[in-house]
Amino acid sequence: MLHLLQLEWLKMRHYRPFKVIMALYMVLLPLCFLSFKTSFDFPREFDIDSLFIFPNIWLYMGYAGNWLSFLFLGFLAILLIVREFSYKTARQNIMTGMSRREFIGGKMIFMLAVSVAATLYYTLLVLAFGFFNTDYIVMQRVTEQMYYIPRFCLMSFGYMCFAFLIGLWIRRTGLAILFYLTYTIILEPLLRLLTYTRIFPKSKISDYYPLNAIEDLVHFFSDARLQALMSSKNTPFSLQALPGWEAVLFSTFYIALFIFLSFWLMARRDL
Amino acid sequence: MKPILNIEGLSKHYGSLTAVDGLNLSVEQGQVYGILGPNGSGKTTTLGMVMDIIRPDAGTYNWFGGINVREARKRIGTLLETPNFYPYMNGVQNLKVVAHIKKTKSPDIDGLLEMVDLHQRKAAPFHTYSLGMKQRLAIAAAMVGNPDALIFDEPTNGLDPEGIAEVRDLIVRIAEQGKTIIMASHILDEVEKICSHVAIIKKGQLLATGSVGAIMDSDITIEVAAEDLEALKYILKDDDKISAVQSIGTDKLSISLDDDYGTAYINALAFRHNITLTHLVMKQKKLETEFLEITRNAAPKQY
Ligand SMILES: Nc1ncnc2c1ncn2[C@@H]1O[C@H](COP(=O)(O)OP(=O)(O)OP(=O)(O)O)[C@@H](O)[C@H]1O
Ligand SMILES: [Mg+2]
Repeated sequence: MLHLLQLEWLKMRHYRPFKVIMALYMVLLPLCFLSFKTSFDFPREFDIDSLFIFPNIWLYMGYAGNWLSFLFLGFLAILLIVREFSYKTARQNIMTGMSRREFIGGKMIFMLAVSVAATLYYTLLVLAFGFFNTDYIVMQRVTEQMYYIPRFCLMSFGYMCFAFLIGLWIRRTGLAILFYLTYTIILEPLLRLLTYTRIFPKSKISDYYPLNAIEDLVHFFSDARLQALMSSKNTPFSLQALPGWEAVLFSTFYIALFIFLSFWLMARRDL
Repeated sequence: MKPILNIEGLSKHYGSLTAVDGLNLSVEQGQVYGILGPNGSGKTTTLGMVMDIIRPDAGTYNWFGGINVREARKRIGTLLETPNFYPYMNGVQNLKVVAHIKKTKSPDIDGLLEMVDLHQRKAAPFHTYSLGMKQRLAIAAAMVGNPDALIFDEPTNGLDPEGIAEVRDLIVRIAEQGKTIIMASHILDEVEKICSHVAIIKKGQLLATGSVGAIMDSDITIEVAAEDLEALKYILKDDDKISAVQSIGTDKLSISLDDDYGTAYINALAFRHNITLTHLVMKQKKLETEFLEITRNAAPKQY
């Protein structure tokens, strides 16, 4: 395990896009978070300042990270695998003495490490901003929503596993990124809408699609107050985030599926 | 002789195209084994299959008498088709990746870079290397961890004459260390200069195998003529050093003969039988004509 992680580190530490992506992630996470003050159309009754104090800050910083993990860590996962094919280093690594399982396994471990690192950073930021912004620190309020920490990690890892699978399947950076974005932003919402209106009308099944489940791990509408205010606006489509335990359950299932498919795809293809 | 690689009935199809067709090969320790065949004959596909990057449709192979294939690959250095490295990393960093995969303790990276004459440029990123330098780095990478066997697929591809000479020289030096080398090439001259053994393949099928000496030299051709051609033919056919006698037109014979014997032997033979030769010309066949002949001929030959 450690041996495989070290190998990925040897490959990545000199890779400039990796450094740029990680740096952007670090810079943008607090900026995105702060921008919620101005950039979102919150219901008037909603107390925006409550986003920035304990315990809500766990969720809202996490939601800022949701976007960043989706974009930056997703792209990183695509680069992680596609360039091994464009440089033909995947075949060289195998010929040099790795098994295909080790090859994919090393990538998975590396992605997990990146997710953990992102989560640590998220935790540090929350603590820093939280203690700075909250006037009366009550420890119970600080720790109340700490369950967002593992959920943040699962979310980041989930996006990476999905992006990785697409990269492994398509093997072209541009196309893979295009598909990743198209599926997540257009295709899956369309499928969900279709499911909601036609296939299983008004049922919750439309919420169980993979990217939605991963997104709902840390979502605006995990905040019950906000959800209550928003749904009174009467939007056509389900505005509910999955309950936490359902999001965790389904995300875990989908992540396991993505990982399984990655190993499977690697095992049967020529390099 | 210890077996290094054994291939039995290996096949690969791409749609309706048969890239490799029931190939049998065996390579033994210390051989410099050339796989010779025209473009598209299935050399790279064959080597890719035994290195586990291409899935065979049929057949089996084993390395070092049948050890675990992943462990086997750690004892083999491979340059297949192109030098494959991380372009943004320099020579040293790239070799470190190779050493890490092979789990080589304290690899002599500087020594290897010295060997392939890349020491000067070791700190420059791979993508700034010339083709010849890339090829040489690939040879250095193949040598990481002091492997028992090496695979070089078209190692001189795309190099200028000087580069070709350097790489060939390097391979010969590696072979002199007693390493088993499997080298694919479509260049006869290269195989002739470097290899001890050769397998000739065409359209994925094995046409001939044997030592380079046997394949190249066994058929020295000598042309002879005499007054009494029939009598000459009779005694020539009777001699066990002569493998074939053919008539050329009505007044000449062409004989194939073991390369340890030459025109003097034929002359003496005729003289012993009181036949005076009116014509005696040695026509050493080059591997090239041999190669073309073999690849035109469908039936496998065993030398
Ligand atoms: N991925 C592939 N898809 C389809 N056909 C392929 C593929 N790889 C190889 N082939 C075909 O298989 C045959 C054998 O190819 P291979 O690369 O093994 O030949 P080669 O002997 O190495 O040739 P060269 O001397 O040009 O390197 C060729 O006809 C080639 O077009
Ligand atoms: Mg080839």
